[in-house]
Amino acid sequence: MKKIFEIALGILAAIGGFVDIGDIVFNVAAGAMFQYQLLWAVVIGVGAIITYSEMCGRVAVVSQRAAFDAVRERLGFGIGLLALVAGQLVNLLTLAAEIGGIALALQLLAGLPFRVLLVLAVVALGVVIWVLPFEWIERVFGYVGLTLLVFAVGAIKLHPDWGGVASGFVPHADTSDLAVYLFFVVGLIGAATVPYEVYFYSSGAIEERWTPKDLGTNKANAIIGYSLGGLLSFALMITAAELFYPRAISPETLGSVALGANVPLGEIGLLLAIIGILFAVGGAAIDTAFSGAYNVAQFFGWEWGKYRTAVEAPRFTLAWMVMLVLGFLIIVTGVDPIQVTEYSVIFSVVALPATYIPILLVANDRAYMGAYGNGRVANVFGIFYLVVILVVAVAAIPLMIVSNMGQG
Amino acid sequence: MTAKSLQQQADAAKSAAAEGALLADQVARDRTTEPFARIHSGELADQAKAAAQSLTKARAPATLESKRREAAAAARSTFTALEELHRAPDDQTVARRVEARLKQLSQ
Repeated sequence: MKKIFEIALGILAAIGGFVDIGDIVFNVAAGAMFQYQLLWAVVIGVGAIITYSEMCGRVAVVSQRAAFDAVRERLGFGIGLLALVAGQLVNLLTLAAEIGGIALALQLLAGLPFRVLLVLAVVALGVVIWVLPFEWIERVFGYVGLTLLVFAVGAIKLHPDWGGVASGFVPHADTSDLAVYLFFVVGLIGAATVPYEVYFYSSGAIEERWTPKDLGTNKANAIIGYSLGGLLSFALMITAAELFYPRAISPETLGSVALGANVPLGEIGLLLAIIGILFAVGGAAIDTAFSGAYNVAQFFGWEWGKYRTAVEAPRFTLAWMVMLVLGFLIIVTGVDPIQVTEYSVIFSVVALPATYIPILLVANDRAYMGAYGNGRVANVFGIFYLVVILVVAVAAIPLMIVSNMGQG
Repeated sequence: MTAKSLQQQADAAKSAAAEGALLADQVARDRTTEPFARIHSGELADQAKAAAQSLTKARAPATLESKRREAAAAARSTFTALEELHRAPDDQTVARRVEARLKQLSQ
């Protein structure tokens, strides 16, 4: 019974923790621009993150080595360092966008000046990371992020055309601007598969001291948690498709996203949506800061882990603090957090292969994994999604240029 | 200014007007919060202002000139209406008037 409870808690945290500012921005924009047509791209993205999270969680549990350990070992020091630098730059951009997102959500809630809230956001993140244990951070943000389910209720209340919704799961492009459509395909897949998620997931497995007995929990968290998290993405896209698409509204701010819950559900819907955005984005900011610290610590072989005190892992502690400060410095320059989000998702797509290829290789290495190596099903899915990831990684920058960042 | 960029700016202003109308409707029916209405109407006003400035400053070929002037005027009106909502984010009478105006401008 205790085990089932643990799994349920983990799944709930995964649902609430799945959506970050990149998912919010791309799903809402895609619904507003292409109605239901891009729902299938979310399915691909969710499938990829399930496959690789399960794999890297299993690798971490069995070998007690997290994802970036594998990256360094498989790619060697030189290319590994390149992957580290690229990964850290993407992490920083993502973190900056998430910090900006927290301040924007707080502003919609309290109406205070943006820059004041930016300072408040980064201080609050630092205090939360310092004070709360790992499990609490993961679960508090995951559970409260579940209030984003208000968008699922709102989507139903807007009475979508369910036939149209169903047809959105079959890839088709009914548009005159194919480049913009494909840009959004890349963005949606990229938003669901950002590298920090797998780095955080695999390091989290070690933080929570999972053993091979927890491999069932790992699988359940990845499959059920991310699938249900994908429902939040569907809800965001359907809401935008119902509310914004018929009125030719192109949503450009988090306020537009919140309005999507306000219109069908009134003030309570609005408040739940903003709180959900705040905690989902806040949780993602912490994941990203940690991910940056995990990567650098694992690459250089430093002591790492939230379960260690600042004295036991001083360079790791300093690393997440530096990440927070740098993320803050980027966003305080006045750049638009939503634009930073779009760039961070597209650049993270380019860096995806450097994360996913080593995981697939290590998960197939019997010397590491023994009896827990990839089976046939894991490899079929792993290779399929790797091909998808390679294609979107190659296409990302050209599509960004040709589609004028999705503006046409 | 090309026909395409003119259309993009005009669409941006219409998008702000349509979204502003939705927001104003929520204010008019007392279904939203004051900070949200104030902040979001301000963001939409900024979008309309940017479109208006771009349309006003741009030089268009003679064949597009009347269209440009019309679009610039509509974007300015959208900005003015959204600013009114931004200054009185909990006034239901103002919100009803702004909603009607923005609905017109979004067509």
